Amino acid sequence: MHRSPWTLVTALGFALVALLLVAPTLGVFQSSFYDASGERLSLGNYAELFGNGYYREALLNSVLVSLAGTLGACLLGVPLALLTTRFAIPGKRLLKTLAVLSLLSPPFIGAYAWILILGNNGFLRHWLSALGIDAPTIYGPLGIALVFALQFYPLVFLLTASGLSTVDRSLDEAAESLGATGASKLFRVTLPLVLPSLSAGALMAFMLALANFGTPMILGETFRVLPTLAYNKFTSEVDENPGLAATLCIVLILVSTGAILLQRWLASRRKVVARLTHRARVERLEGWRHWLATAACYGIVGWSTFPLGVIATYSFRKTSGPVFQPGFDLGNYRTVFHVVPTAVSNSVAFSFAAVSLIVVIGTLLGYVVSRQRSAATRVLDPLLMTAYTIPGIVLGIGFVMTFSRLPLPLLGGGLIMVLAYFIRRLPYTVRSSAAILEQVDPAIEEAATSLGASPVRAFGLVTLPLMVPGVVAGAILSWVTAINELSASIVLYEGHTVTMPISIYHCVVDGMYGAAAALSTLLIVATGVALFVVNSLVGVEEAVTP
Amino acid sequence: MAAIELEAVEKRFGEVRALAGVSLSIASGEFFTLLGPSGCGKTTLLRTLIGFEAVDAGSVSVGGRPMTQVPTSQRNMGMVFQSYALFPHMTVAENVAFGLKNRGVSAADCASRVAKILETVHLAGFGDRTPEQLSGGQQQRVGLARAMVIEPLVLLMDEPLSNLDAKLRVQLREEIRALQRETGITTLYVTHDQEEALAVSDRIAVMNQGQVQQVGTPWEIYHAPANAFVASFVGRINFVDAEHLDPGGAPGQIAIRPEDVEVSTEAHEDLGEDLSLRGATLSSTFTGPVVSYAVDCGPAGQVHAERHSPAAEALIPPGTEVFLRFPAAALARYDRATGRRL
Repeated sequence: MHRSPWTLVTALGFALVALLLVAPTLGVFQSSFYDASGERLSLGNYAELFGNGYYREALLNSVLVSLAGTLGACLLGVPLALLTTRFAIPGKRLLKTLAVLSLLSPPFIGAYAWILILGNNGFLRHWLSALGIDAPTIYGPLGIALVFALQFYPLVFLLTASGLSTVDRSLDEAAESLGATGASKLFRVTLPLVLPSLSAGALMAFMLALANFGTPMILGETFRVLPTLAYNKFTSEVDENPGLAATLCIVLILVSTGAILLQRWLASRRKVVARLTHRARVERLEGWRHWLATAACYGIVGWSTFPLGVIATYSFRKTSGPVFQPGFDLGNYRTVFHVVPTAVSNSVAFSFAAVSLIVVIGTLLGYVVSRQRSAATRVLDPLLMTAYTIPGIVLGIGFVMTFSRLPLPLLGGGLIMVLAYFIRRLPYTVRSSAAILEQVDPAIEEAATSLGASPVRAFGLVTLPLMVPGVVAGAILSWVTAINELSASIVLYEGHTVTMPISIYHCVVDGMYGAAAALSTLLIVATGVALFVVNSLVGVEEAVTP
Repeated sequence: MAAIELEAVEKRFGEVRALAGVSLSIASGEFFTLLGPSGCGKTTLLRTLIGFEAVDAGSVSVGGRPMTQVPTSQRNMGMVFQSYALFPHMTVAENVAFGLKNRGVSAADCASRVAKILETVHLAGFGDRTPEQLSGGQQQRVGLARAMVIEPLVLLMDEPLSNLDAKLRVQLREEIRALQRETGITTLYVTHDQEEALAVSDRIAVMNQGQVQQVGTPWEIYHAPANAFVASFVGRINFVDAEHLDPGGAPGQIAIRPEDVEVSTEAHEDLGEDLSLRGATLSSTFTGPVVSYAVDCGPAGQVHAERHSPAAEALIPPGTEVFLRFPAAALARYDRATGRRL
């Protein structure tokens, strides 16, 4: 009946998946079977990776530091979720917004801030050593895990909180009536019930930690993980080996796919049929308990936003070369606009271009996936979702490998950066617009056609306006992730396409801490303003968690 | 001439045959109801008529014009939805004007027609409200106004009252019926509520498993059901094996409505053509206007009987031996295997 325009959209979806996801992944896969010369087929890379202790250690490092970060994220996120859903804590919205701010800030700004705090010259270390305490530095695996935990706990927090708010109150009451109270009730009833959402949050934290490039690059020193090693093998001039880099990428994809399967299995074993008839009651604590719970919540969120505040403060410090001087001025911002103005304009241009593409194509694909169900769209949805399992660095390397072979003049230009942002974020937008549509009664569109509107007119006049708030919120969040993107762009950029996160990274590596702080502050402010707008549109937690 | 003509309409959803050869002829100006349990195909039939679903085989024509190839937007049929399906981002007036704008009606004409129809559905002055500011009953009045203002060839209603509470349901169905009489618009109404169907319809088609079981006036459907399904779906009815009730008579099942069964604590004399059974009351349920008795008749099974609410001392307590009388005029026989009326 109405097949004409939507069949085209579905075809476009498949074409994008083929060009921007399947081809790069296959390109990486293929390269992993070529030796260093790039001419002979061999299994040498895999033998090297699993035979050489150096690479085996990097694989183990990756898994362990991501697991440690995930564990930390759970230790921060679950208590915060329990406290805020069960008790009346003042300023819940503020807590959520701040948590999301630390989640969405550029992935290595936290790392950089902790260098200012607990680095070799960190101010906290100075203070502590003045008191005679020799504090550990932030460098190394524990520091990386800490930064991961502080950045990714909001995912565990938000998903667990939404899980908790759909657990029927009577289940809690039943457990109490059967004599389970306190910790016993928590571990035997409440947490098992939210395991599906808790584990989904933990999985997302794990995948982001595993794929993270900036933090281990800045804090790792000699501690190597798969993404940093792949980057070095791919870009280094001394021991460049694209085949081995590709093999590392494949292993990275396998580990994250394994994590997804494990989480699916965990969540399906505990399939909870939620029949919500009585919402969980929000209890009001009395006296010192209230203050303790409130302090715990603000402590966790404050801990994670503290580094952002440190950076903002340092951005106004006087600097002389790499050294911060006493007093404040705007010198760092002058440096930014004199030394790296293209980074700012590139970031703005690329992120807006990517978001425009995402909004148009993501909305149409979301509509197709949710309303035009067919064999083709049923395949398209999970295909798009595979973008989640492909770390940015892998996508970047795959883009280079694919587009250097195709007769498309993409490499080295701005468009390839835009396409990388686009495809990494597209599945999210497709999902969220499909989810918005689930809330819209399909009969509304039928009513419009029965009143004489053609299918296209019905979509434009009735369905689209209802999708707008959700789509705008999704677009702003896409913009935030695009403007903060590092791991794919660092592989794809060239001098004239440098972006703000890449500049920050270089500034940190080169010791230009003042300029780095100023650039980071600009990104943090942009992120904060965007979140404020999203929050007033739909509420921030609905928009962040797919 | 018939307003709506359906000829051997077929519709499959995968393995399920939702419409298994449906033929109906609905007269111009008629209030026609499709009645049946959920999943019987009544809503599917309505949706194929307006074009939300394409037919697999058969033909649909309205006013003599074949409709199968016409897109929904050009069929000029008004539809009222169970979920109201009002556009939440538009005011009441904008909702009602939507169809007129699609037809290119001038703004002034549009405004006066919207105002007039809102008055008709008792919503004058509600034009500037949004749907969420209205009660369920008011929302469905908007739905009705929106469907009628375009002066459609036919009005289709898909369970329009089932989201409303009982009292409002009765009130609104009477308003709908009055409005239909006044405008004379051919109306196809879908419901699973047999009382509603009996109350509003000129004619009813009872459907089951994708097929029309019987077409008739409410009186015919209730008092002369064509088969056991119609008899049991519309109103309550007792089925008793003929061998228990009328040994030596024709085989099959004998059916009688509870209100036709006479209950007495004394044996009936001179039965004539009437039949009778003996049993013991299991329960008596008082529901205001009637008392209904469940009577255990041994091998003949349980029989329900209803009496208009008697005086308190005439209530028969459970466990009492009673005699049931089945007047010959109220009896019908059905084939046990096919369910067909004999």
